Amino acid sequence: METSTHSPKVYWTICAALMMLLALTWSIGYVNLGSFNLVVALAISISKALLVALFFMHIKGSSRLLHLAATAGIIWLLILFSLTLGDYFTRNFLQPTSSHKVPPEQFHGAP
Amino acid sequence: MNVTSTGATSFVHEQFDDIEQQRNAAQLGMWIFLATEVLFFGGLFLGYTVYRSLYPDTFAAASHHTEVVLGGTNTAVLLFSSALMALAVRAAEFKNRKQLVWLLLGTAFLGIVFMAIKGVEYHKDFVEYLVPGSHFEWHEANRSHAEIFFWLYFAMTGLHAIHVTVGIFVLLTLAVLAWLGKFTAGHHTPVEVAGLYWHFVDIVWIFLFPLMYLAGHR
Repeated sequence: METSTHSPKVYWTICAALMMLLALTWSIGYVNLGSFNLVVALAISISKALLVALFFMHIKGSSRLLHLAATAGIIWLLILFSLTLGDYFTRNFLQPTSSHKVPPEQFHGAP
Repeated sequence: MNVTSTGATSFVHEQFDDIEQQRNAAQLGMWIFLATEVLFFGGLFLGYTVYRSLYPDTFAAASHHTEVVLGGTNTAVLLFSSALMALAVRAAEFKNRKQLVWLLLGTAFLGIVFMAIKGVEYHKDFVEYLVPGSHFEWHEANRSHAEIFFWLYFAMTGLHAIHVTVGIFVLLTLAVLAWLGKFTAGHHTPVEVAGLYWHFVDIVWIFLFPLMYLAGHR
Protein backbone atom coordinates (compact mmCIF):
# COMPACT_ATOMS: atom_id res chain seq x y z
CA MET A 1 0.00 0.00 0.00
CA GLU A 2 1.29 3.41 -0.92
CA THR A 3 1.26 5.63 2.14
CA SER A 4 1.66 9.36 2.59
CA THR A 5 2.32 9.08 6.34
CA HIS A 6 5.43 7.93 8.17
CA SER A 7 5.86 5.05 10.59
CA PRO A 8 5.04 5.77 14.27
CA LYS A 9 8.76 5.53 15.01
CA VAL A 10 9.40 8.60 12.83
CA TYR A 11 6.68 10.59 14.63
CA TRP A 12 7.97 9.67 18.09
CA THR A 13 11.55 10.53 17.05
CA ILE A 14 10.41 13.95 15.84
CA CYS A 15 8.38 14.41 19.03
CA ALA A 16 11.45 13.59 21.14
CA ALA A 17 13.57 16.03 19.11
CA LEU A 18 10.93 18.75 19.62
CA MET A 19 10.91 18.13 23.38
CA MET A 20 14.70 18.34 23.51
CA LEU A 21 14.65 21.62 21.57
CA LEU A 22 12.01 22.91 24.03
CA ALA A 23 14.27 21.97 26.96
CA LEU A 24 17.16 23.72 25.20
CA THR A 25 15.29 26.97 24.53
CA TRP A 26 13.88 26.93 28.08
CA SER A 27 17.28 26.47 29.75
CA ILE A 28 19.03 29.00 27.51
CA GLY A 29 16.36 31.45 28.66
CA TYR A 30 18.15 31.52 32.02
CA VAL A 31 21.58 32.28 30.54
CA ASN A 32 22.58 35.84 29.74
CA LEU A 33 23.79 35.90 26.14
CA GLY A 34 22.91 39.55 25.63
CA SER A 35 21.15 40.12 22.34
CA PHE A 36 22.06 36.58 21.28
CA ASN A 37 19.30 35.24 23.56
CA LEU A 38 16.81 36.33 20.91
CA VAL A 39 18.89 34.98 18.02
CA VAL A 40 19.27 31.55 19.66
CA ALA A 41 15.58 31.45 20.68
CA LEU A 42 14.44 32.25 17.14
CA ALA A 43 16.88 29.75 15.59
CA ILE A 44 15.49 27.01 17.85
CA SER A 45 11.89 28.04 17.13
CA ILE A 46 12.50 27.96 13.38
CA SER A 47 14.08 24.50 13.68
CA LYS A 48 11.08 23.25 15.65
CA ALA A 49 8.63 24.76 13.13
CA LEU A 50 10.54 23.12 10.28
CA LEU A 51 10.41 19.71 11.98
CA VAL A 52 6.64 20.07 12.48
CA ALA A 53 6.05 21.27 8.90
CA LEU A 54 8.33 18.73 7.22
CA PHE A 55 7.26 15.60 9.11
CA PHE A 56 3.95 16.17 10.92
CA MET A 57 2.48 18.24 8.09
CA HIS A 58 4.15 16.03 5.47
CA ILE A 59 5.68 18.84 3.45
CA LYS A 60 8.50 16.37 2.89
CA GLY A 61 7.18 14.14 0.14
CA SER A 62 4.19 16.29 -0.83
CA SER A 63 3.57 17.94 -4.21
CA ARG A 64 5.38 21.00 -5.54
CA LEU A 65 2.06 22.85 -5.52
CA LEU A 66 1.77 22.45 -1.73
CA HIS A 67 5.40 23.53 -1.30
CA LEU A 68 4.53 26.67 -3.25
CA ALA A 69 1.41 27.40 -1.16
CA ALA A 70 3.33 26.88 2.09
CA THR A 71 6.24 29.06 0.95
CA ALA A 72 3.89 31.81 -0.25
CA GLY A 73 2.75 32.50 3.32
CA ILE A 74 6.35 32.82 4.52
CA ILE A 75 7.33 35.07 1.59
CA TRP A 76 4.42 37.45 2.23
CA LEU A 77 5.34 37.49 5.92
CA LEU A 78 8.90 38.46 4.98
CA ILE A 79 7.57 41.28 2.77
CA LEU A 80 5.39 42.51 5.66
CA PHE A 81 8.37 42.50 8.04
CA SER A 82 11.01 43.88 5.68
CA LEU A 83 8.95 46.86 4.53
CA THR A 84 7.83 47.84 8.04
CA LEU A 85 11.18 47.27 9.74
CA GLY A 86 12.89 48.93 6.78
CA ASP A 87 10.99 52.01 7.86
CA TYR A 88 11.48 51.76 11.64
CA PHE A 89 15.16 50.79 11.57
CA THR A 90 16.24 53.45 9.07
CA ARG A 91 14.54 56.49 10.60
CA ASN A 92 17.83 57.70 12.06
CA PHE A 93 19.76 57.28 8.81
CA LEU A 94 18.94 60.81 7.69
CA GLN A 95 20.71 63.02 10.21
CA PRO A 96 18.81 66.20 11.04
CA THR A 97 20.50 69.50 10.33
CA SER A 98 22.42 71.04 13.23
CA SER A 99 19.62 73.47 14.07
CA HIS A 100 17.13 70.61 14.51
CA LYS A 101 19.03 68.18 16.71
CA VAL A 102 16.79 65.24 17.58
CA PRO A 103 17.52 63.68 20.97
CA PRO A 104 18.85 60.12 20.59
CA GLU A 105 15.84 58.52 22.28
CA GLN A 106 13.67 59.77 19.40
CA PHE A 107 15.91 58.34 16.67
CA HIS A 108 13.94 55.13 16.50
CA GLY A 109 10.75 57.04 15.99
CA ALA A 110 9.30 56.23 19.40
CA PRO A 111 5.77 57.57 19.59
CA MET B 1 -21.04 11.29 -0.59
CA ASN B 2 -22.79 10.74 -3.90
CA VAL B 3 -24.58 7.74 -5.28
CA THR B 4 -23.24 6.88 -8.73
CA SER B 5 -25.31 5.55 -11.63
CA THR B 6 -24.35 2.02 -10.68
CA GLY B 7 -25.80 2.58 -7.23
CA ALA B 8 -22.43 2.38 -5.45
CA THR B 9 -21.62 5.17 -3.03
CA SER B 10 -18.67 7.39 -3.88
CA PHE B 11 -16.82 9.95 -1.81
CA VAL B 12 -15.94 11.98 -4.89
CA HIS B 13 -17.96 15.16 -5.28
CA GLU B 14 -19.20 15.82 -8.79
CA GLN B 15 -16.75 18.63 -9.59
CA PHE B 16 -13.75 16.30 -9.18
CA ASP B 17 -12.45 13.61 -11.53
CA ASP B 18 -11.36 11.25 -8.81
CA ILE B 19 -10.67 10.95 -5.07
CA GLU B 20 -7.00 11.89 -5.51
CA GLN B 21 -7.85 15.19 -7.23
CA GLN B 22 -10.40 15.95 -4.51
CA ARG B 23 -7.82 15.23 -1.81
CA ASN B 24 -5.21 17.44 -3.50
CA ALA B 25 -7.74 20.29 -3.78
CA ALA B 26 -8.63 20.02 -0.09
CA GLN B 27 -4.97 20.06 0.95
CA LEU B 28 -4.17 23.02 -1.30
CA GLY B 29 -7.18 24.88 0.12
CA MET B 30 -6.00 24.28 3.69
CA TRP B 31 -2.43 25.37 2.92
CA ILE B 32 -3.72 28.60 1.33
CA PHE B 33 -5.89 29.18 4.40
CA LEU B 34 -2.82 28.60 6.59
CA ALA B 35 -0.89 31.17 4.52
CA THR B 36 -3.59 33.73 5.36
CA GLU B 37 -3.32 32.65 9.01
CA VAL B 38 0.44 33.25 8.90
CA LEU B 39 -0.32 36.85 7.90
CA PHE B 40 -3.15 37.14 10.45
CA PHE B 41 -0.76 36.29 13.28
CA GLY B 42 2.05 38.01 11.37
CA GLY B 43 0.59 41.46 12.01
CA LEU B 44 0.75 40.88 15.77
CA PHE B 45 4.25 39.37 15.58
CA LEU B 46 5.28 42.46 13.62
CA GLY B 47 3.82 44.77 16.27
CA TYR B 48 5.69 42.78 18.91
CA THR B 49 8.95 43.07 16.93
CA VAL B 50 8.64 46.83 16.52
CA TYR B 51 7.83 47.52 20.19
CA ARG B 52 10.38 45.07 21.53
CA SER B 53 13.07 46.77 19.42
CA LEU B 54 11.94 50.13 20.80
CA TYR B 55 11.70 49.05 24.48
CA PRO B 56 13.93 45.97 24.85
CA ASP B 57 14.63 46.44 28.58
CA THR B 58 11.00 46.97 29.59
CA PHE B 59 9.92 44.00 27.48
CA ALA B 60 12.51 41.83 29.25
CA ALA B 61 11.32 43.10 32.65
CA ALA B 62 7.66 42.55 31.77
CA SER B 63 8.42 39.07 30.44
CA HIS B 64 9.71 38.12 33.92
CA HIS B 65 6.16 38.56 35.22
CA THR B 66 4.78 35.83 32.95
CA GLU B 67 4.42 32.28 34.25
CA VAL B 68 7.27 30.48 32.48
CA VAL B 69 6.60 27.09 34.10
CA LEU B 70 2.97 27.11 32.94
CA GLY B 71 3.94 28.42 29.49
CA GLY B 72 6.71 25.85 29.09
CA THR B 73 4.46 23.00 30.23
CA ASN B 74 1.86 24.15 27.72
CA THR B 75 4.48 24.03 24.95
CA ALA B 76 5.19 20.38 25.82
CA VAL B 77 1.45 19.64 25.93
CA LEU B 78 0.94 21.07 22.43
CA LEU B 79 4.02 19.37 20.96
CA PHE B 80 2.82 16.04 22.35
CA SER B 81 -0.70 16.63 21.00
CA SER B 82 0.79 17.29 17.56
CA ALA B 83 2.51 13.89 17.65
CA LEU B 84 -0.83 12.25 18.54
CA MET B 85 -2.50 14.13 15.67
CA ALA B 86 0.11 12.89 13.19
CA LEU B 87 -0.49 9.33 14.46
CA ALA B 88 -4.26 9.88 14.05
CA VAL B 89 -3.80 10.71 10.36
CA ARG B 90 -1.76 7.54 10.02
CA ALA B 91 -4.44 5.48 11.80
CA ALA B 92 -7.04 6.91 9.38
CA GLU B 93 -4.88 6.03 6.41
CA PHE B 94 -4.58 2.45 7.66
CA LYS B 95 -8.35 2.34 8.34
CA ASN B 96 -7.86 1.60 12.02
CA ARG B 97 -11.13 2.99 13.35
CA LYS B 98 -10.62 2.37 17.09
CA GLN B 99 -7.11 3.78 17.12
CA LEU B 100 -8.24 6.80 15.10
CA VAL B 101 -11.05 7.62 17.55
CA TRP B 102 -8.75 7.33 20.57
CA LEU B 103 -5.98 9.39 18.99
CA LEU B 104 -8.43 12.15 18.00
CA LEU B 105 -9.88 12.16 21.53
CA GLY B 106 -6.34 12.19 22.97
CA THR B 107 -5.36 15.16 20.82
CA ALA B 108 -8.54 17.03 21.79
CA PHE B 109 -7.95 16.17 25.48
CA LEU B 110 -4.44 17.68 25.36
CA GLY B 111 -5.97 20.75 23.72
CA ILE B 112 -8.36 21.01 26.68
CA VAL B 113 -5.43 20.58 29.12
CA PHE B 114 -3.67 23.43 27.30
CA MET B 115 -6.72 25.67 27.67
CA ALA B 116 -7.08 24.77 31.37
CA ILE B 117 -3.45 25.68 32.08
CA LYS B 118 -3.91 28.89 30.06
CA GLY B 119 -6.96 29.69 32.18
CA VAL B 120 -4.97 29.26 35.42
CA GLU B 121 -2.29 31.48 33.95
CA TYR B 122 -4.72 34.22 32.88
CA HIS B 123 -6.22 34.13 36.37
CA LYS B 124 -2.76 34.64 37.92
CA ASP B 125 -2.09 37.54 35.55
CA PHE B 126 -5.49 39.01 36.41
CA VAL B 127 -5.04 38.93 40.19
CA GLU B 128 -1.53 40.41 39.78
CA TYR B 129 -3.10 43.40 37.97
CA LEU B 130 -1.20 42.66 34.76
CA VAL B 131 -4.22 43.13 32.48
CA PRO B 132 -3.79 46.38 30.50
CA GLY B 133 -6.30 49.08 31.30
CA SER B 134 -7.20 51.27 34.25
CA HIS B 135 -6.35 48.53 36.79
CA PHE B 136 -2.91 47.80 35.34
CA GLU B 137 -0.28 47.98 38.08
CA TRP B 138 3.42 48.34 37.36
CA HIS B 139 5.97 49.23 40.02
CA GLU B 140 9.04 49.31 37.78
CA ALA B 141 10.12 51.85 35.14
CA ASN B 142 8.16 52.67 31.96
CA ARG B 143 4.66 51.65 32.93
CA SER B 144 3.12 52.39 29.52
CA HIS B 145 5.76 50.32 27.71
CA ALA B 146 5.12 47.38 30.03
CA GLU B 147 1.43 47.81 29.30
CA ILE B 148 2.18 47.46 25.58
CA PHE B 149 3.95 44.17 26.30
CA PHE B 150 0.96 42.84 28.21
CA TRP B 151 -1.44 44.09 25.57
CA LEU B 152 0.51 42.06 23.00
CA TYR B 153 0.75 39.11 25.41
CA PHE B 154 -3.02 38.93 25.84
CA ALA B 155 -3.80 39.65 22.18
CA MET B 156 -1.37 37.06 20.82
CA THR B 157 -1.95 34.26 23.35
CA GLY B 158 -5.68 35.09 23.24
CA LEU B 159 -5.90 34.82 19.46
CA HIS B 160 -3.93 31.58 19.72
CA ALA B 161 -6.28 30.29 22.43
CA ILE B 162 -9.28 30.98 20.15
CA HIS B 163 -7.58 28.86 17.49
CA VAL B 164 -6.98 26.04 19.98
CA THR B 165 -10.64 26.20 21.04
CA VAL B 166 -11.81 25.94 17.42
CA GLY B 167 -9.38 23.03 16.95
CA ILE B 168 -10.79 21.20 19.99
CA PHE B 169 -14.33 21.39 18.58
CA VAL B 170 -13.13 20.25 15.15
CA LEU B 171 -11.28 17.29 16.71
CA LEU B 172 -14.26 16.25 18.85
CA THR B 173 -16.56 16.41 15.80
CA LEU B 174 -14.07 14.33 13.83
CA ALA B 175 -13.87 11.81 16.69
CA VAL B 176 -17.65 11.30 16.56
CA LEU B 177 -17.59 10.94 12.76
CA ALA B 178 -14.62 8.57 13.00
CA TRP B 179 -16.50 6.48 15.56
CA LEU B 180 -19.35 6.26 13.03
CA GLY B 181 -16.80 4.92 10.55
CA LYS B 182 -16.84 7.91 8.19
CA PHE B 183 -13.05 8.04 7.69
CA THR B 184 -12.22 4.36 7.49
CA ALA B 185 -14.41 3.47 4.54
CA GLY B 186 -12.39 4.95 1.71
CA HIS B 187 -11.38 8.54 2.35
CA HIS B 188 -9.94 10.41 5.31
CA THR B 189 -9.17 13.84 3.88
CA PRO B 190 -11.01 15.72 6.68
CA VAL B 191 -8.68 14.14 9.26
CA GLU B 192 -5.62 15.09 7.21
CA VAL B 193 -6.76 18.67 6.69
CA ALA B 194 -7.74 19.16 10.36
CA GLY B 195 -4.29 17.79 11.23
CA LEU B 196 -2.65 20.51 9.14
CA TYR B 197 -4.61 23.15 11.07
CA TRP B 198 -3.71 21.64 14.45
CA HIS B 199 0.01 21.49 13.58
CA PHE B 200 -0.11 25.12 12.42
CA VAL B 201 -1.56 26.21 15.77
CA ASP B 202 1.28 24.29 17.41
CA ILE B 203 3.84 26.18 15.28
CA VAL B 204 2.39 29.54 16.34
CA TRP B 205 2.88 28.57 20.00
CA ILE B 206 6.45 27.39 19.26
CA PHE B 207 7.23 31.03 18.43
CA LEU B 208 5.05 32.57 21.16
CA PHE B 209 6.76 30.66 23.97
CA PRO B 210 10.28 32.17 23.78
CA LEU B 211 8.99 35.61 22.72
CA MET B 212 6.50 35.95 25.59
CA TYR B 213 8.09 34.02 28.44
CA LEU B 214 11.83 34.29 27.75
CA ALA B 215 12.27 37.83 26.35
CA GLY B 216 15.73 38.90 27.44
CA HIS B 217 16.88 36.28 29.93
CA ARG B 218 15.26 35.37 33.20
